[in-house]
Amino acid sequence: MAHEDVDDRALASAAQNGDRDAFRTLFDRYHRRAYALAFGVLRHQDDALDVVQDAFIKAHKHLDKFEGASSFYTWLYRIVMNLAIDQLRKRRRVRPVELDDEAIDGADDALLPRVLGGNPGRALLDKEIRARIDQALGELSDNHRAVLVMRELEGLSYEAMAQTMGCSKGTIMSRLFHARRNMQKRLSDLVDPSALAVATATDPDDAEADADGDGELAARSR
Amino acid sequence: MKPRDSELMQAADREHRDLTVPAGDAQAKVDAIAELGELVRGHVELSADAVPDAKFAAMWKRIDEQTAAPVVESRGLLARVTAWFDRYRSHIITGAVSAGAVAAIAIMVRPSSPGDSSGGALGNSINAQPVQFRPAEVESLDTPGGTGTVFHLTDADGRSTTVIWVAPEDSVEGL
Amino acid sequence: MNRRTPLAATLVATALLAAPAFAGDAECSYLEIGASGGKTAIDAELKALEKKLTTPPLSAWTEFHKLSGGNASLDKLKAQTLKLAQGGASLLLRDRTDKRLELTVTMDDHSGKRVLDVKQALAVGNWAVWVASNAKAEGHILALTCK
Repeated sequence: MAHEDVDDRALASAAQNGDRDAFRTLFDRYHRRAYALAFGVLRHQDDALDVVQDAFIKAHKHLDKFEGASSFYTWLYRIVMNLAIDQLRKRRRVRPVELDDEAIDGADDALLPRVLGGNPGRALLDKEIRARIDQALGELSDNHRAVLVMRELEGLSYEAMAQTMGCSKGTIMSRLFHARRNMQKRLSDLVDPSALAVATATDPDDAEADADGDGELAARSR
Repeated sequence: MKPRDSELMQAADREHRDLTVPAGDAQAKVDAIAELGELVRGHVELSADAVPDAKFAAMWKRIDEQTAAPVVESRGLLARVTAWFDRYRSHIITGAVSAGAVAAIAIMVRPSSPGDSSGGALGNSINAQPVQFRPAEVESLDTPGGTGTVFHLTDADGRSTTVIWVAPEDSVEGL
Repeated sequence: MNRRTPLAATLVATALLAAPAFAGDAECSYLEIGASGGKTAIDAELKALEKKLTTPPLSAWTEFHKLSGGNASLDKLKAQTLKLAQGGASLLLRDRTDKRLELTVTMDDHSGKRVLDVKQALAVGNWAVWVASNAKAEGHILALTCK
């Protein structure tokens, strides 16, 4: 059976009936995307690979539960997320204090009205910027990072994320808000001065000038 | 009235379709959320792309080994057991239950009468239906980490046997 | 011939016959069984349960091996541990009448993890069966009857 053009439901059905190639096709279609999700949450290559492997094994075991109403990946990502969250729980020794339930929209929590980089695509070519993004993601709490990754990689609705994480929509919104706010704070010195949208009292160049005292402008023009 | 930042976030995520985002500060915040999203997505996807194909090839090998069809008889057995339970899934107990709940969902299994075609996947004809039974043979039941089902078997000579079956709790939803 | 001897012998014999095998409030017998979907076979020692093993739901399996078995003398409110070949179990007789026993039964798997904790009644002379199936659809069965 040539599988490349076959839809997920037919592949899952064939796999359930023992067609190894059909399951291989599903694996080929989605393994990298599953890995990206797991890695985004776990930030550890080996852990993320383990989660993806376990997710596909688990998915294979429960193929009879895949009804085909959505794509195989939509069904698979929940397995990936749950396994990734389990992995985070295993790692956690001290439960971090999170401001999940704290009210957002407080004066100290305003989203920054700044554009982080005029061209994110170009920004991502910069190793240093990538390292900063990686560091900022690492400094988020596990729950904050999980919702941010789910939202940005998978475009999940708040409701879908709430179901996946077993919490309320309000908690998801709060976590997402704080995750974004914290990322912005940590990346604020990457602001492209030419893209500043806020008219501040100070000269925009002064705002960015040598923020870290190393003689170079902290912001880069992109 | 100036929209709150949380509303702007919802607008950026298309969760607040009624909000018209005013130009200026508010729009800049919405744009900032979108750009942050692109940075996060781009960064994570690039990190994922950096994993060499060989690692995924090795992963597939392990998945293939672990999902290879078990001994045919075991798969057939699993299918039989699963199909039988699925037929009566509404009567599955999870966790600790009290007498009332247990009484309501016990399954009575009687020997079939000739011509009874209600045989399930187990191959034997059975007449199985949920019943309320009394007296309450099972007062309380706790099945940590598993699902429990209570059966009452009635022999042809009328003697009854309570069978309590604990199966691993292993569903996708229950991850 | 000592006339008392036959009487004494009879008394002793009677006493011996009358002495119960167990001195507890309930005398029970248990069987620990391993079940799988292999060939159709039931160990001869499981004959007492054959009908139940070949009736749904236990007939999901076709091969039954006795793993262990024995007797247990239960005193009221004193837990009795059964040493099983796989895991463990405990029985507690909470109360009884002539016709009915009230038991608390726990079962642990081979790693010591609790899989079952149940309070149930058992009619004297009937069987109670507890089954734990694993991910490979193999069964671990404990069956008990008491008088």
